[in-house]
Amino acid sequence: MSYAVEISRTNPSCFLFVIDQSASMADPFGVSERAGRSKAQELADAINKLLQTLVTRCAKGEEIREYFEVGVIGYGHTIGPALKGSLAGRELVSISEIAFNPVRLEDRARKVSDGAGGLVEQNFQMPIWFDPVSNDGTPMCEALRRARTVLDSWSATHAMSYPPTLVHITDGESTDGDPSEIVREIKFFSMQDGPICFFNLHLSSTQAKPIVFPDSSADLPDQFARLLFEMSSPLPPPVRMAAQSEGYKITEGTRGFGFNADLVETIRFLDIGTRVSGLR
Amino acid sequence: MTLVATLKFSGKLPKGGYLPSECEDHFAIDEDSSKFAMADGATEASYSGIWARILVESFREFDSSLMIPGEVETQFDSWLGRCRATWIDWEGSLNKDGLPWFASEKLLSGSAATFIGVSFESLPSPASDQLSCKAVALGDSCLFIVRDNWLRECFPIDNASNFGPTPALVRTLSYPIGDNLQVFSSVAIDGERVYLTTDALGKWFLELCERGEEPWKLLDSVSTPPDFENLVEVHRANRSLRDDDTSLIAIEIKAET
Repeated sequence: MSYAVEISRTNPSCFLFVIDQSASMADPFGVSERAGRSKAQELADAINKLLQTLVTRCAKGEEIREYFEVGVIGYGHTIGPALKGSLAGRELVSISEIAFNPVRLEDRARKVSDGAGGLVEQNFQMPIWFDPVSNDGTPMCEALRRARTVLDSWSATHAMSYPPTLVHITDGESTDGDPSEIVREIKFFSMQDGPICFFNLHLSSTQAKPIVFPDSSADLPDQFARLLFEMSSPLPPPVRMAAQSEGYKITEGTRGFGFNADLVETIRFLDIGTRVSGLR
Repeated sequence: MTLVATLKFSGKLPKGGYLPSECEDHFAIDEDSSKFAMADGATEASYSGIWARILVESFREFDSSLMIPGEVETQFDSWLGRCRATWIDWEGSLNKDGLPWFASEKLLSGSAATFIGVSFESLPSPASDQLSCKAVALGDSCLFIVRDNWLRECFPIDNASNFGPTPALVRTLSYPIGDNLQVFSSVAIDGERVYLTTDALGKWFLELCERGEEPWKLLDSVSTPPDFENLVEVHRANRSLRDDDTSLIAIEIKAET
């Protein structure tokens, strides 16, 4: 059975996020609770939150278990690694390097359950690794080519690991050609435990209803949406279970794809899409 | 004849490639009061080995006379409250200002472990040739009782397919236990063997039974730590035993000498 390998320090897995940083990312989400914030700002928050979640999943007391290697590639005016601070310029870093090297810790507050049906405010430190960027075109093909190179190299040295998960986040169409062939090449590369998972998340500038984890392209509005759906991998069993437990209707044909996602769906998509096999 | 529950072997091993100090299974044995407890700290939680140790070491305070349906739930809640107080004391002893951000963050969501505790007690005449055997469990740590050459009891899981990725857990935060608490009551007789295991060995045990094999013979052959290491290594290598923290307490019911 594919996607059954447990993730361990000996056999870590890999998450690579490829993020659109083109000029249109300066526009707001179609539906956003926080007025005046751009998609780039909201996405930076979502990525930082996701990295925080991945680190805490790997935390055992004051130590970090090396369950994952993680990279963020941005594309817009330039194409390349998007983490900042001491991790700048690195395509993939271990989860402990992520944990110990945020650019800064911001004091924030959140509402949490008080255990008796109410909410209380809790102060916490939010680590930041990634800042918003929005500039220029959408060189999607070149960015995915770069991702393919990173994942080819990682996969060659981690044959026994749970396959890497590549999450591509964009708000628009490619300005440097059709990425289908590159994506085919990425998905063609199979590890012992299954092919690389390629998920796509499209961010919305309109108030159109989000379509998340669809199992067919029938309800998708245009050719671009159908292209992203076709490029996206079916959900592997652990992610399928996570999506089901969050209330999504999942079938064998469900793909790792979201269209017209707002901020809430973006955060949920990233959280569910990274709930891969059991950690050991 | 006075029967006693006698320890034959106890041991635990971490996952392959991990240090013994990283094993998050814990057990406690109190032969004087005939109480045995085992807990498996949740991999996803921080400091779960510490929580598992608090649970098993506190089991000696559990009033086993109240391990009966209708009474045990209240008794368990009260006992768990004391365990949580011990956890809070331990947490208070941490230098929180010195913790990295992720340790502080994860500490907010508490810790968790599965738990099983078993208590044996002599019965008055005319049942003095039996020992009462009562157990409480939350999650997938297991109890097996073997008489002669057949599996007489398994608790709380009776089928290998019922082991899953998300067992019920005893948590440090004040989540209600609800219906997750499992209670067991039986009697044990002279010559019976009783095994406590964490989930990997429990699943292995039941799978072998379901194939018509007799895994207790393999467990009965374990009398030293190298025996146990060998058993675990062989069955991890042939993939019949999941590579997870693995613990065993083997007990024999026999007449007091």
